[in-house]
Amino acid sequence: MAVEFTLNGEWRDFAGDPRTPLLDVLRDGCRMTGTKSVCRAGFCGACTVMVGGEPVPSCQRPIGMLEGAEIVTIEGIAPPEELNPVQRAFLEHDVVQCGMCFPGMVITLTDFLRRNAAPTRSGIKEALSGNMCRCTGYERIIDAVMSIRETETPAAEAVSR
Amino acid sequence: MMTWGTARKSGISPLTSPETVDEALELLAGGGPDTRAIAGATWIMRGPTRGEPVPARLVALNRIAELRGVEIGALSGRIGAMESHDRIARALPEAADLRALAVAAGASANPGIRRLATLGGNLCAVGFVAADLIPALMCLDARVEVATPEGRRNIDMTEFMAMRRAAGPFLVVAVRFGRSGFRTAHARTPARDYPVSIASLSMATDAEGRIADLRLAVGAVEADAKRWAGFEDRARGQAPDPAGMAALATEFSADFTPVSALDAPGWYRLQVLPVLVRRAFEQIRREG
Amino acid sequence: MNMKVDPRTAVMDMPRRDARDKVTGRTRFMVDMAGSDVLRAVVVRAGSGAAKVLRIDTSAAARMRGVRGIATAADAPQLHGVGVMDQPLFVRDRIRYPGEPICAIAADTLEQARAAAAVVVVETEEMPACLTMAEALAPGAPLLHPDWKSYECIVDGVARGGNIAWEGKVVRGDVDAAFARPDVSVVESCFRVGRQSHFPFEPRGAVASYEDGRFHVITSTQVPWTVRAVTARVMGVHASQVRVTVPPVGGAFGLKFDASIEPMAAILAKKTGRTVSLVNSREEETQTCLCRENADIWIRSAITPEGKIAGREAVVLMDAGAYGGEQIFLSTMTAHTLGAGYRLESVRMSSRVVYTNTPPNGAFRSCNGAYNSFALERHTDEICEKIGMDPMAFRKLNVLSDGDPGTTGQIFEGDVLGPMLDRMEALRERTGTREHRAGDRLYGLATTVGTWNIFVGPSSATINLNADGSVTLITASVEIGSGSITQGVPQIVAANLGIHPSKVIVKGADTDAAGYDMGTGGGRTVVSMGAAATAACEVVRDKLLDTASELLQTPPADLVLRNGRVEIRDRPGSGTTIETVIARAEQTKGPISGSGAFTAPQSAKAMPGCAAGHFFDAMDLPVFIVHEAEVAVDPDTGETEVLAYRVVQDVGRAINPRAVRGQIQGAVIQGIGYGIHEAVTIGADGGIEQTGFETYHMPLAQDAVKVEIDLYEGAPSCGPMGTKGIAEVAIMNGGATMACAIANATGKRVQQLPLTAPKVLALTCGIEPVLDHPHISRRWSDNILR
Repeated sequence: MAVEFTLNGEWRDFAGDPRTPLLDVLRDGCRMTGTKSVCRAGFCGACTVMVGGEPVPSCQRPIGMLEGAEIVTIEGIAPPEELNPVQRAFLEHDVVQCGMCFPGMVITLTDFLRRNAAPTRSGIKEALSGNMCRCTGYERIIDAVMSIRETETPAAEAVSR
Repeated sequence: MMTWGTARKSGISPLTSPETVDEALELLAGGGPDTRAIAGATWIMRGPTRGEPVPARLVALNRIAELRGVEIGALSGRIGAMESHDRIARALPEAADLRALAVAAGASANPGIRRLATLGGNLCAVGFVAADLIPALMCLDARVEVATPEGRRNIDMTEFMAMRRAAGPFLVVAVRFGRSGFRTAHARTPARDYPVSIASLSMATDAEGRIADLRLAVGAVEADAKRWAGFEDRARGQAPDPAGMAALATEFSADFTPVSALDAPGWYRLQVLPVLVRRAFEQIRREG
Repeated sequence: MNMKVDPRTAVMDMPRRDARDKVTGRTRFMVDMAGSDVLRAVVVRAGSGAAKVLRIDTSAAARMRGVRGIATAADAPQLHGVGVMDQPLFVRDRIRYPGEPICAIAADTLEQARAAAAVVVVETEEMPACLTMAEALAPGAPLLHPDWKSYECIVDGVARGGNIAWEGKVVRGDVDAAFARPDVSVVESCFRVGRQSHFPFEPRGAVASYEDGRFHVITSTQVPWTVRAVTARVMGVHASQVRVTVPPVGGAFGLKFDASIEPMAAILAKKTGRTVSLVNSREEETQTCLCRENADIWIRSAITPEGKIAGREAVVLMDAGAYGGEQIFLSTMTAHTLGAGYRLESVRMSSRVVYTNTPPNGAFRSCNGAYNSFALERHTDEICEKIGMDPMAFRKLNVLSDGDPGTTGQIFEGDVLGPMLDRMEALRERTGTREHRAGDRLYGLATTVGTWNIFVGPSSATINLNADGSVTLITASVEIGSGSITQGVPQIVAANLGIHPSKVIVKGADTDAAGYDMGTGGGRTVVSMGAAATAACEVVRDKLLDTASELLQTPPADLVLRNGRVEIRDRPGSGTTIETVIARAEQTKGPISGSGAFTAPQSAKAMPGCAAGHFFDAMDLPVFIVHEAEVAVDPDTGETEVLAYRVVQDVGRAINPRAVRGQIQGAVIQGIGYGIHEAVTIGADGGIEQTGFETYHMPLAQDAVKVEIDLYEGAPSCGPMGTKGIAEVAIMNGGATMACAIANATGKRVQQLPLTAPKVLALTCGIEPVLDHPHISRRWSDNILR
């Protein structure tokens, strides 16, 4: 019995083993590789996607539990050829290094800013406690987020559509 | 990396999503030995990193309406087993007697996991030593509504901790607790991520400010969290002086046989326990 | 023609060209390249440590559903290694560590490959094991490599034998006489460090195919040319039969400085005739990580009444694990890290690489420097305590300055560390201290110095000028996240050619397109590849100016490249566009391209006879750091909070200051991780106990602190435009500074890293046993092979 869900606004189905983590459905099934497979245990956040309007680690979601769910991945967080404010801030502040953690960082922080328009540095760090980065030492990421807080509303539409 | 249990050929789907508790129990009972209920799935899905394959058959509980709800009244509260840590932390009202539970739900793991991991999963994940909610619920003297094929039972946390390793199929439906005038605190170390020692405290004082009643539950020290009866007995009637309470905790810490694991050796879990007891009493004193 | 380009024209905060795709998820890393047409492979690994192999039977696995091919020891007849060829690709007659590869299986799906792996039969007989270096060095210890004498070794006459895979030593001056002086204070210290695991977010792996009789390996590596050589070597084919290409690498930090499972993927590709993806699972990646090695260090110094260092001797034991690997090369670095930084009247050091029945170790950012600086700086503070001297005053008195000899007798140029210490004091003055934030916790502050060598070495680059005025830079350098080949080198090229760096197209590493390069690591890319690219620029520039000279009727010497134009000197806006010149050249002489090369200038010389068993005796390009940290230690839990962290770093010239600061910030947090968070432990079977992110604790965002950075420019450098490598050395003193600051806070004798909360609490409670290293003789000469 296939599982049906929406992926970045489009109906999809998956007919394989319903225990398969959403992460693998995205990467292997849909060949959408922006969602990164890193720790597969809910610690690193590199596979974070929006499920039902909340950012969660996709490695921890058996696809069988997601019948009818609305899923938004990094590929759908902003319209093609456009960047959302978090992505733009990361570019402007030259924050990126190896880049593997950034799709997850973008998802988590986009949602976080939607809920917290004027966060503190420590608030941002707390929000990132499930998004690890091995390269950057985090502070530049925080700087980038601080630069856009309150000044703009992140592309909430793209997240919750 | 995922490794899968086998036995797909039985005709039963590897993942079923029942809509009632009875249906779920039936699936659990009839699914064979390698069948597990999943709630938030965060313990089972990361099983492969512990060398435990994902079970052959999963019974997902996310479509059972009865397992939902955070209802906090003036006299009592009920939290459905499928409520996530995040939902619990956001739904609990600001109240001294619920403070420990709110901290436990709001500070565990990381935000993504808190959105998934449930109360029921926390209660049932045997082997997950760092569960925050269990000692907090012990302090509330919570009772657990357990459904088995034989029927429903309401049991206290201590009894639940013993029965949760039981072979037969069961589900946690909800926890219930009475509201009290007790003040509560939840102290853990490290303060973020997963704790290696937890002291959850709830306490009422008499007119002289002495401890009239208290419950102290300790988590992440032994394999299962437990109420520290020895400490509670000795602390009653004393002044809730944090340093004195810490000294008492030190004196009777032989009540525990701590587990050693990669995140902390046993001696460390025990060594910091009196500190956490002190901090819990300090929090209560500070917050009045 | 060697025309001087104003290096200031290279300096800019150019943003990364790869950032947009990385934040939108479009970047395809090696791990993203396994579509449905690609076979998936797994490595079958040994379940236990030291054992004799009785039988390996893959016949049942070969019959499993979906299995397309199995690579075994028979497919990889040759041994490989760094310096000593001691390692088989797959286990042969004995297993030396848990997790050692037995064979690799390719199947239609990962599940099928795993199912087949489960039925491979491996019959073994347990053998006595050496799990620690003390056990391996004990008299009568079982030998991991009884045939060590038969191994091919890249140089003759190196001291090695038994469980000692390699020994480097350095002796300068009369150390015995120094210690015999009646007026010296003798200070002796023992230290131990555990392993550090890189945890790159992208694990090691490869996607391989076999096309037209050649292997094509797409891999996540820092060293495409090494992968090419090792892949060919183990299979016994000619290196020209292997092509290696490298997409963006998802983190490396030194882990990917060796070939690992690439040859297995190549073998499977040939056997199956299909494209094969072989990627380590996170558990495999963690449990077979080529970690920064654990080490035991003994160091003793004779200090004069004035506080000078009359004599110093040391023994460093580096755990290679089951095979020599990078440790053999890195043993050289002891002389240049533990032996560095301070003026020593006499010195002798032994650096021994020891085999144990544990997973092999490897290279990790600042390699053994990260722990040798810990040992050196804690020892320095122990000296200061013993003689009652202020640690900053001692350092200012003793750090190397212009004309001082280093440990191997190399004469240092320039007065760098002393002024850097002054700059640190000035930085502290500017930022203020944060003692008030310690509250009732124990407050500590420490300042440390460190020295590293930039591994300059062979690099080559080719530049093609395109008709549209852009240029294509072709190299085998890899983008590992440091930005050196996507920011640094293009900026150098652009400045040389008078164009904007965005006009420099950077071709991804491809051994079929680019010439040899030693690899991306060791802080060498901007220096070596930058120099090779500069040389290539000189070639194309000469050709450009030659053609332009005809066009503009002006001698080449009077022409300059500026703003995308060839202009007449001192007449901005004159001349013509570079496109015009390129078009003209295409018609008259053919398209313009040029290649350049670089290797170590060999200008730095050691004192003859000082060093033995070294891969290099003198540092080509020393680089220096001064780190300072303020910490608060919770005496109740042993947790350390880093309140402040300051860095003064010798960067030569920062051509992209913002990117340099980004590298320093990231490296420091990794260094703090090494100091206080990250622990690898070895279990009873010799295996690494940690399995992934749950059990290995890397710094989280809440553990980070904003590093205050002062870039020290102007120190001597052979790098193009005065540059030095900056990303490697920046991690080096993280562990040292944490250790010294925690010792300062607690007043305890810190002897070990990492200083996790339980370790610190054990120290403050006085229950941590004193480390004494009984397996290291107090008579230095007992610690060298004769």
